[in-house]
Amino acid sequence: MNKKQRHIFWPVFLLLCLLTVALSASITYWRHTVPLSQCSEVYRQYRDMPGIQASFVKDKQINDTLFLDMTLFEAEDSAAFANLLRTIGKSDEFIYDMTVLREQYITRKNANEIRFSGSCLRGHPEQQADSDLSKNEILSIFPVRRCIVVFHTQSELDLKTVMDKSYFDEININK
Amino acid sequence: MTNEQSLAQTINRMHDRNRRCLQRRMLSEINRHTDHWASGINLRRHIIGGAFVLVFLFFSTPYAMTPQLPDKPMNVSAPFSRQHALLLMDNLTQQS
Repeated sequence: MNKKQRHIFWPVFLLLCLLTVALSASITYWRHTVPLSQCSEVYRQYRDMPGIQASFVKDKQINDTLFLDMTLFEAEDSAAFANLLRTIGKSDEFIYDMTVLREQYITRKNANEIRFSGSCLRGHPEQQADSDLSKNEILSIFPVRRCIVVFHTQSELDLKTVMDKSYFDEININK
Repeated sequence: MTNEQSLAQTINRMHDRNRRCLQRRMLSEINRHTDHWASGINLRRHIIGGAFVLVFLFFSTPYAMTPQLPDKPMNVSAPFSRQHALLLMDNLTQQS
């Protein structure tokens, strides 16, 4: 019995250590995680797409006064990026242009890392923007990094602030 | 030596042997108890030491995880990509 108990001690102690670390990690992560119900509709809709890494950040700082919720979609490869663009209602022509731009950037024919920004209906990136600007949010496409960022603007002022911050030419992406 | 004397001597020798045997057994039993991890002072020492280790692990884990923890609450679909996503967002926000 003595030897058995002696053998039990270390496994039990290691198990307790693991439990402590797991508990501490889960508490820490829980405090830094937004519940899924509070995440954006776009994030919930597209986060399970194959080849796509989605992230949602609450109250991301844009400038000194503006804090916005943001959703980021990052494609692992060009096929996943094309699939994502197709899902949000972009034409094949537009997708081809994105691929060409990326290739041009890689081969250094085009030094600019172009961003395509436009408005879309809140929660529905595949739909056209509403005439009431407060119902819209900003969808930015970064073809070189194969990224899509959605700025969840709440008012017309937010939308204009984000748009004004851009020093790239705005191009209408609602093709 | 008479038969009686011889018998008495034998009995004494047997008693001695039994006593020594008993002593040895008792000693080994005492040693066994004091050596046991859950006995007396050993148990207290283990509990205090174990508690220190567990408390240290509990409070040091968040510091060990710091590179993975963003300043803002966020949700990611890919595990362990928080920091990467946040850096990328910073970069893209500066661009936009």
